[in-house]
Amino acid sequence: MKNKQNKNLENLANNYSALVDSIFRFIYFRTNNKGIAEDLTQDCFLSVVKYLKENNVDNIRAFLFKTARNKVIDYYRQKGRIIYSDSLVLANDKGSRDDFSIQYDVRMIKEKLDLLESGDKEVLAMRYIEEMGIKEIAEAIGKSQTAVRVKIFRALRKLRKLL
Amino acid sequence: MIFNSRNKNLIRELCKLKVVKADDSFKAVLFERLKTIEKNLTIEAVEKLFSEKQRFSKELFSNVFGKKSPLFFPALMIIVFVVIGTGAGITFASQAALPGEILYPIKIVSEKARIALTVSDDEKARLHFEFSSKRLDEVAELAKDSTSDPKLAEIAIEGYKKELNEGQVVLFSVQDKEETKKAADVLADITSKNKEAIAKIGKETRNYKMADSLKDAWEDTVEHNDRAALIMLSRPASSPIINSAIQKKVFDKIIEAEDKIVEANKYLLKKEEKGIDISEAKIKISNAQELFDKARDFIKRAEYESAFNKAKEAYGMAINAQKIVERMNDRNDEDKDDEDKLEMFKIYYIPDNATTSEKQSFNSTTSAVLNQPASIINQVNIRERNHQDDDGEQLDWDEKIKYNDKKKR
Repeated sequence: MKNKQNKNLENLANNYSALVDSIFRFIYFRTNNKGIAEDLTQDCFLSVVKYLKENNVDNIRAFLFKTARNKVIDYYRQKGRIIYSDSLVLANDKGSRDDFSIQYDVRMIKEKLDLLESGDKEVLAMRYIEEMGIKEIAEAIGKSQTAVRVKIFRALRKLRKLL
Repeated sequence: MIFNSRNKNLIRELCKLKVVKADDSFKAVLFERLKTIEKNLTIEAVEKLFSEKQRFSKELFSNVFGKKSPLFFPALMIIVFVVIGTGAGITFASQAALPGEILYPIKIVSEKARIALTVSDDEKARLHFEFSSKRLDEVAELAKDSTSDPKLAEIAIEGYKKELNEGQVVLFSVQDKEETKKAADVLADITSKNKEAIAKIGKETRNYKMADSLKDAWEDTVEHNDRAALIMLSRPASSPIINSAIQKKVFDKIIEAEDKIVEANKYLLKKEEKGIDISEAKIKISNAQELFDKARDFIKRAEYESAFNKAKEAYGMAINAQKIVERMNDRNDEDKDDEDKLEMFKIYYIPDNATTSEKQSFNSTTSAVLNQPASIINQVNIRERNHQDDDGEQLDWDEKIKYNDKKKR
């Protein structure tokens, strides 16, 4: 029990940078606002680490996404929220600094993705951007694996029609 | 059916969105917060992140944002905005910065902010002293590199002096006498530690150009140390006999003054060989000697405060003499020998190991005979006798130097 908790934390620690990126990206695609995405990412990590002190989970990544998803839903539920979208956040590493063509492509695909419903958007993001397995996604959004497969298939078809 | 070629293209497009990432500074701040919840969170990955980030900012500074680059000003503006936006992360990353590095001003500002946010005076003073020792750490770091610019060390030393001074101002802002005494204790403690730190830097460094800055820091520290000792002396403890720690301070000062006079004289003689006129300095030295003799008289009469003051004056006078000669030396050789300068600092400012250990044994005997003023004077007399002929006449300075050299060997 204790070992497993440590393992969870260790796992989180070793992949910290990548996990923060994933969660931030996931929330950012839902909210389109960098500040809010950072706030919610922070909330998400704080509550997950608190939770891991007492409990253990099978898949830390799926659990993080589940929490992040709930945070976003909670956020939208609060009345009187107006979210201003800001311009796209791009990577701040050296590789893409001058690469305008990539920036352009990204902006295009992001605009199309935004036309989808949030449910479709999130499964596509998890499956193809974060490269999560079907089982992981099922765990994160609380649906059966079959339902997830169908959802991904339909979302992809919708997106294709938009392009 | 699902993965036909069009879908593959689509997926490839989606993958491009991976370039959207969270800021490093955001990650750092979040990580700090997580660590407050879970202390076991030690993360190699994050440390790696920071080491990469620091290296990157150094490269950036030298390649793109160097002062001569046309990008310098816009870059500075960007940095200012970034700092306003994501302060905490950069503050965290700036803590290892040295003078001349891009993050150094941020480090200083963050320290000021920490002090401004502190309410209690004790804590404020503690922070000032903590930061002053940080400045010394920076000097030590700079001194490791024999090619680093002495101006950078100067910046750090200026910062050091400022912190030390502000710290003691806060420390002595108390009204209560008892508190003032405590404050003097603290200051004496801090300055002694700092003196050791500066001496250590001076001994280890191979960067000859830093000698001037180090001298500066040393003299400033000595000044504060003296001030603390004087406050301790002017407010003797409730018992009629001055306590051992304060006595030790007076003896230390007297020994320091004596060493200084001997060393200054040695320096003078060395320069005289090189053909520099030392007559003016010689007068100062003999004045210093007179003051020193007076200090010894006061000690014999157990007038510690006056003894300390005289020793302090003697010390100052000896330094004066040395400075006069140094100035002449500088005027004489246009291309002054930096190596020589540092050697001078090492020899004439920092007590070497032999004298230090001798001091310790001397002080341990003084503390053993505490509360018996007569025997303390005997101790001083024994020490004097080491320097005197049987008939009580003082040896002349040359012989004294030879004697000191022998001791060191």
